[in-house]
Amino acid sequence: MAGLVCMRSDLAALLRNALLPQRNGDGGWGYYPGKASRLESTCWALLSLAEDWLQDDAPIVEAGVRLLASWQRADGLIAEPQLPPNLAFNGLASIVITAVGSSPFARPAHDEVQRRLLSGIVGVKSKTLSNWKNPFRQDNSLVGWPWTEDTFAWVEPTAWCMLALKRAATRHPIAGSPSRIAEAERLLFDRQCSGGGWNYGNSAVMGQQLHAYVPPTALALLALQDRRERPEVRLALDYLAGSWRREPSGMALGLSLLCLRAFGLPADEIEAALAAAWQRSGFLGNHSVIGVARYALMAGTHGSAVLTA
Amino acid sequence: MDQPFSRPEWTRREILALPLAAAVAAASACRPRFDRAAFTVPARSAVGLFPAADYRVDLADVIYRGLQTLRVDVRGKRVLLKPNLVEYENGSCINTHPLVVAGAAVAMLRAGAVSVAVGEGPGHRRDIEYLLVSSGLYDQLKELRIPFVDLNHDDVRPVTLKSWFTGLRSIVLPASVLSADLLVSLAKLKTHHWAGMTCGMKNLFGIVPGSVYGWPKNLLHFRGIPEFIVDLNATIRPGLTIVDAVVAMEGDGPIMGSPRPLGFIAMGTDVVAVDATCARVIGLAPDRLTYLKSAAEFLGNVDDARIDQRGEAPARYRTRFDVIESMRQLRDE
Repeated sequence: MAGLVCMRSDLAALLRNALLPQRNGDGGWGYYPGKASRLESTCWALLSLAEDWLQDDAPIVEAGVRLLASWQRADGLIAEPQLPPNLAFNGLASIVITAVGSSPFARPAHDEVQRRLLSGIVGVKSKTLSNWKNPFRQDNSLVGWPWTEDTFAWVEPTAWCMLALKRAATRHPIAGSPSRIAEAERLLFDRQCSGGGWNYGNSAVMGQQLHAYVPPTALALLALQDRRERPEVRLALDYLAGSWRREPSGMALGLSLLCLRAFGLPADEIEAALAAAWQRSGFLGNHSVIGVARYALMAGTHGSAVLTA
Repeated sequence: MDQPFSRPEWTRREILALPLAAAVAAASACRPRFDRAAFTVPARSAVGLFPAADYRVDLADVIYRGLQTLRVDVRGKRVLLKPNLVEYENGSCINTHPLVVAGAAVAMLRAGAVSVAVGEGPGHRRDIEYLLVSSGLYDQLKELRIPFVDLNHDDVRPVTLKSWFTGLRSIVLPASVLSADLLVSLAKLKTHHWAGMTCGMKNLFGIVPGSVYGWPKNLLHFRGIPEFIVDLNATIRPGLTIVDAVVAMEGDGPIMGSPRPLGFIAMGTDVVAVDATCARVIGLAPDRLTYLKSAAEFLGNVDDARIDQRGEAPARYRTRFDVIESMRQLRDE
């Protein structure tokens, strides 16, 4: 156990050292060194640092949240300059603000950013399609969240937005949120692959069963933590527990670690695999993945982590 | 330049103007899908089919000789190789083989390219680290010290589309694609259950950034896959196409199909002509593939009589690929 704690803290320190020098002047992170700040990479970096609650990090976290607020549109959604809002990453941004809100870095101004963001998220509905001559198995009439406005619902944006609304429900109750969550849950269960997990969102096409992937499965399960009594959730957990070794990347291992821990399942072995993946590829230098991995290692250090509460 | 995206926010004035908007929409429906004056179809296009019985042959040599045969000058150019890296399945033939990617990189450097990078933005899987490592491409590139660019998460720039089959005016694309001197579509020859065939032209879907458009790149599917293939190729012209047809895929491609060894590498500077040649080899009629039919109007040569074959004659490889029921009408019979 002592060895595991040592490895965890060593790896967490390495990942922190990989992230901090790459912060851009505007307070955000690009996906890769030298790239422009983007929403997802900034969110994961902030989430992984906010979990430390180190007072020295206060200006870094504050500048990061200020950057997110500067990208907020009139409708509450956060959009990078000249780009459409990405709903999955808007859900993630809301979770970052929830996490910061329960840390010593909380500021009253964050509440207003969060309230508007959640309203913006509830306001976006995915397009639906007729189920007539549907080449897929799924029910295309269900409403979830798309990656970008005016498109179809997919697993990852639906899971992120649902998780954001669930996490913020107590402090920021938003009209219309409960019914959106209920339908989004139906959508996720509808899109589940026959083997128990999820892929990006089509479980079967033209009669062919498609394979599940580890990252969207872990993410969907995180969004369904409060539905652990459902047999579909137990099936998905079985899939994840048996499959994470087949996708040994920083993203897949980090999300698997978070997810299995959230459900109280053994996951120490994943930490060793995460360290091996870092040694092999350095996660290709992707700041989002470095943030995912670090957050997964650190989550719960100061109590319940926002993604796994 | 058009803004790539703007959220419609209806004001009272706009609602009152709806009848006018309807008239404008009707007029735009008649708008040409491309400006003929902006494009020149080459009088003739050369396409080479070069034997490669399996992946153990010296693929760098095959591709280098192909460059010489086709007189492709890469000297001093910064080359971006865009393979087809979609999904990993042990023992499958979904992706451009890592040895073909490595061979192309070595051939480009040998031919005088100043730099070579490999870039891809898979449309289903976000997890590029998993795909690179599991497919074996990560080790190949590491050994050769060839950098990889994650096109789903690169910096992006707005680009005005040069044709309008989708009705879109602009999209955003990765900075690394826009700054390359030579973009090489390093495709895999496969049947495709939506587009009919994926080869050099369809392969460019992978340059569209998922961090902007999502996984899959849904806005573009909504606008029509064949239409977007044409708009993309009209806007970002690959200077060279190299097709891995050493082992191709038939049946329910691009992922669930079956391996079909063909034993050649196809190359050419006219991506339309390369795709038309590959379609003929696998028993599909190019003019029945919607995107090739459209591309033939202004982008490149589909007509057999305007394609000069180099290397082996297509007849040597000609066969009939298995296709799914809904694609049977594409066969050249």
